[in-house]
Amino acid sequence: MDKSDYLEQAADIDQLDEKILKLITKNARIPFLEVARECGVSGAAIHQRVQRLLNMGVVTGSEFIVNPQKLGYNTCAYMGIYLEKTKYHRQVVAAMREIPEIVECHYTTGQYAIFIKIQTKTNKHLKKLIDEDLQAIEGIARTETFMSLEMDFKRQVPIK
Amino acid sequence: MTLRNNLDEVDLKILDIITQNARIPFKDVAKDVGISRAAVHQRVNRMIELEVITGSGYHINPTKVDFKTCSYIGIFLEKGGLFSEVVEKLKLIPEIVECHYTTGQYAIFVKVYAKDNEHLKNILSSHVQKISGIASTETFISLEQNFKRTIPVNS
Repeated sequence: MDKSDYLEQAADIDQLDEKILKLITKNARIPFLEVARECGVSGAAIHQRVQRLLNMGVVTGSEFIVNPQKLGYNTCAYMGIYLEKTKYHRQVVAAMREIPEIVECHYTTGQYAIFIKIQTKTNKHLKKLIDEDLQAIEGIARTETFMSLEMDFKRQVPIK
Repeated sequence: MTLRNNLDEVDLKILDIITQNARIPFKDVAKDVGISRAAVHQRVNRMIELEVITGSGYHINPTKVDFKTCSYIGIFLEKGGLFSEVVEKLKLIPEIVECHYTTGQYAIFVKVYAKDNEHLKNILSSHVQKISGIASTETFISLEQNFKRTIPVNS
């Protein structure tokens, strides 16, 4: 295995980059001129810096954040998945990618092989997803579900 | 209650586009959806008012800003009633990015980004486990995030 396959270097970013990140992670549509004014550099410099951060993969895109409940997604659950055999990992992940209600998927240490986050409209919808979609995936032995009764907060990683 | 009934097809189409790319010019959204730019502005503002949209932001790739260890921690409380005090204290730890009140064996479930395993150990022993009311914790380290995305808007 090549070292670069498993070593991901932290990107080389300076204080100006950090300042820009702080502003644009809070509001994606902030005019770059305003960012420039706050940082004391030109608008063109901000454009250049943001492009560089995108190229380096420090920022991976932007989004409007939606409130799932207002779209009718009232059930949020975390699920630990046990596999019949560990070697099924890849195929199971590939199958789960096809289920749009699964919004996050991790390969974890601890008792579960795979750990996912699911957003569904109702509890019944969750049950259907577990019953019909997940159980149909070959390689999954069993699942353990934790329902989130309330999300207390959610935020991004701290930028120094 | 869901407000989904108050959103029409056009709203959902707009959401579908702007949840993928927040900086897309509204002119382009308007062209895609087949309405005027002013109408896009108006609809987005309405969805902000309805709190369908709660904000916008660039996604940071945590590993590139040196947060290499992602983990989930299940928290057991001494007493269920201590919940709100404990959440208030957890909020003060910036590395905790998500916090849920869950059913199942844990009372609270959080997501944590740390620089490395040592940093994670430090967060656990010097911060999380110092909070009075927390009985014990169980940590799952994510070795790899296979994917992460937003909920399906158009379905």
